[in-house]
Amino acid sequence: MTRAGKNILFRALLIGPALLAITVFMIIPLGLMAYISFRGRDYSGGVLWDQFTAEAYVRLFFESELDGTLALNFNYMYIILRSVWLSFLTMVISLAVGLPVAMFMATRDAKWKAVLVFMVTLPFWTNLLVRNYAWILLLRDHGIINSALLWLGIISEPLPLLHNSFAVAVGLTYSFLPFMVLPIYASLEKIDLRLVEASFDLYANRWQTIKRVILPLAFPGIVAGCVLVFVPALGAYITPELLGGGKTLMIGNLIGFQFGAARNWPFGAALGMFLLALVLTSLWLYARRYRGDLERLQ
Amino acid sequence: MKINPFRNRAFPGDARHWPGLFTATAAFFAYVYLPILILIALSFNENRTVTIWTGFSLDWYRMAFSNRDIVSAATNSLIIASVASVSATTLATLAALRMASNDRFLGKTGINAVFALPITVPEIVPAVATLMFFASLGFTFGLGTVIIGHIVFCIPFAYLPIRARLEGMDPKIGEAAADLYANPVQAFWRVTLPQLVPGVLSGLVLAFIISLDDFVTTFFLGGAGSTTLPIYIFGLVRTGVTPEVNAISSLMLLLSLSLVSLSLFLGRDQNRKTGPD
Amino acid sequence: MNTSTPSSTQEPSSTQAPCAVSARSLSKVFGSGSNAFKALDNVSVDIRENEFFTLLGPSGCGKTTLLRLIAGFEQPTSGEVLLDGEDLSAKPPYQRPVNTVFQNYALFPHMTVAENISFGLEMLGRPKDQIKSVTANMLRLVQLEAMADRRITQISGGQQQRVALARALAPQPKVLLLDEPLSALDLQLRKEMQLELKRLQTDTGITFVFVTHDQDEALTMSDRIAVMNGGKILQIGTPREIYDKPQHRFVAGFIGEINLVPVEAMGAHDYAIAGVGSLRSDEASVVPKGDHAVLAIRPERIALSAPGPGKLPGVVTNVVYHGTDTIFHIRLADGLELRARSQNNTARIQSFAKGDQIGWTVDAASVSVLADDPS
Repeated sequence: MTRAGKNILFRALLIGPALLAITVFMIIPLGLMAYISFRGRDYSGGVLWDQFTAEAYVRLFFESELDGTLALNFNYMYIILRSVWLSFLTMVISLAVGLPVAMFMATRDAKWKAVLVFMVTLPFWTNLLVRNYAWILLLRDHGIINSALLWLGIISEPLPLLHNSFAVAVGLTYSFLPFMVLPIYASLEKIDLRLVEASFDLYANRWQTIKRVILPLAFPGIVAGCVLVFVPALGAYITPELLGGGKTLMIGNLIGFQFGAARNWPFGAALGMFLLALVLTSLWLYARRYRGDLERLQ
Repeated sequence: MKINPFRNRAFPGDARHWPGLFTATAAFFAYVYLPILILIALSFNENRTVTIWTGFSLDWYRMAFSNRDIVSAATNSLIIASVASVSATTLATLAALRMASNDRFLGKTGINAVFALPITVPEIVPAVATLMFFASLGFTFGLGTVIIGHIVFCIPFAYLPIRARLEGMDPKIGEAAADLYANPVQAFWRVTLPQLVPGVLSGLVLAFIISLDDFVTTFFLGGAGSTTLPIYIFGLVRTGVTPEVNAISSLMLLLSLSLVSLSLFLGRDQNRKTGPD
Repeated sequence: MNTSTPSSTQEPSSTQAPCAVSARSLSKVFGSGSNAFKALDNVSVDIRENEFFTLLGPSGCGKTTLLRLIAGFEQPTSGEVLLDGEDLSAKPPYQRPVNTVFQNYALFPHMTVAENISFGLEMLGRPKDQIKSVTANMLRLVQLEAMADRRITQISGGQQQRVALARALAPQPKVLLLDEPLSALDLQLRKEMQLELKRLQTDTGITFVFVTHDQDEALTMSDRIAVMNGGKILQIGTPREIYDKPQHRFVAGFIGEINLVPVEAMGAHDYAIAGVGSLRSDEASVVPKGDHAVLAIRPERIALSAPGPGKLPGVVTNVVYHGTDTIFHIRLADGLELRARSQNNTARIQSFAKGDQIGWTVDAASVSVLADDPS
């Protein structure tokens, strides 16, 4: 075998298995899902393999009346919009909280920086289910917060803090906040503090310095953080499931529902493709504009 | 804006002391850690009604350990996590060894994208897609299907840090090994691999944690008898809050925390160059 | 006229000591198409056994590339590398009896000092007791016996450099390649190591090929120097030859300070400086009468005195005191200036002030003749 040939074989042996695993068990299933999204639904909710139809996608926006005509159905659109809105809200809140925290971290000295980064990273590695569960303890009618408020006499009846959009928003923010802090921190950390001093030396006040010096330099990190919060929030499953209580559905739960009680695989597949499209579009827009910055960030 | 140069004994240009930063950070860490700490604290609550503290008790932990379902779920979790993390790390290491070099070849960016794919898409999508895939092939859902699903999303968690570590290694060291008469096999075995081992172990522990903590994929690809701890907890929570849930949840938290610390310790930067002159 | 083509800078090898390493018409191109970069351009050189040979030149001149081709880390685009007359091109680095001391040392971080040093011998499969004794010798040689079991991250930069040296010497290679090994050291340590390296080379008798951009270092340590620029070797010679008789404008300017004086040839050894006078050079080159050339004169070779017969005229425009010597800027004619350097030796006080008319001469042996082309 030629030297080049040996090289390629060697390369294939090393990279092949991992590549194969992901291709066979993720990419192909995703392709299958795309295919199924264009099939019909059989009586038990499974797939009618020989029927090509776009009815799953139609179902997203319309429902069939008894007389066969199509009428606009807002239910699913409402869920989709809620998902986008909650994800967006989560992103904005995370940004508002994350920016000052990242700024604080970036201006500490080396030893403290390491400790702070560790403390921010740590929650990411703990169980998401458990962390959301902790909020159930806090938010329920007889949970910590309500009990404390009642005990203090501030309220006379428990506030409905759980099983609504509020709870889901809190949960989503809680789940993904570290993802906002770290990229912004990475960007800010590279900024030479003397630039800030120079800005003041040139008669800028604090707001002007933030606006004209710090934000532009931190921008790549901010955008990265926004994407890293928005995308997972959009596809969240656990948080709306636990804290939404079946009344506050997001796209993720809706999808899961199709494979559980609702039993409509093609519709679930169509929803999945829709979510995938949303996510990939966001990522593609980001990559197109900021790919250079992303590489530098890493 | 009035500038008082002596406030905080720093000047306004000194961004280290801007007002609000410390408060925001303190609030942030309180927000992030309090729920966890409260959960752990409550797991020691003697009272069955979780939110009324009556005394310190280890009862719930004892009940958890003696509950057969919990032990079985824990066993499943450990089996799945062990098999998935070892397999994923092995595959990832092999791939990283070839991908971390500087030479470009056809499709290299694409391959890197594929390796990052499982953590860029929301977990629900590949979970249900794989469900449909396995169902169409007639697979029986159980430990096996769950493990396969776990391997797929564990690969990136092992691959990315290992590749980063490889790329951070001084290429001249490989040249030095060859210069000193080591053939490629010897060079790999005696020089590259020992440097790589801490990184590989760190990646392994990370993959283990990720697998242990997983819910979505396990839920959709599982079957009877493949209940893991997160699945069990989810089931319990659905039916209501009980103290056993607090105990198991706290255990899972503490387990994750210890493993993360271990992983970070293993993967710490060993590149401190020189000692004192 | 010496136009420096690589082969003309060679002394015929048959009359010299045997060659340890040779390069024959070596070229190396990186990249391709419009991105192609020619790092080495048809380079040939014979390095003799037991020689301290230095490759000297600015960054990017190709000296490191040449070294790496000898070591085997790169393959030549064309040409060959010979060791004891044998073509090495087909052999990978681990089959060449050549060892390298890297610029950043490239020590194995997970091994101790002793393990680093014994690595090469282990790879060669030497018996254990031999490995042990050679390692001990090496440690003694570089005075690091006390550090044998330390991890290399625990020792200082200077000590690391010595470990790198010991590691490369332990397998007793035919040729030792050193890629700017002293550049990371501070000045004091550097001077010490220069002497140390020279002593090691003489003691071990191994051929050293040393790469540096520091001309002081090259002059101090080398038996012979090859001055390189733009991928070519411009001149090879002993330090004295390179300094006293540069054959190339770049070589003249790169090493020490030089005065470059445009002249017109007036015959075999005489050269006229327009409007000033004429100088003799005892160089054997032949410049056709009437052709233009450039004379290269070192500042310290210019003798200054009062104006008079047999001396060339000039005016002092500036006097710069430098502690050990004084530099006089002398204007000869419009746009033509010389720098003369004179030692501040109290026995011969030469006190010229700004504006003085002086006379100057240069010994014929100290005048080098160069081509007029700007390269």
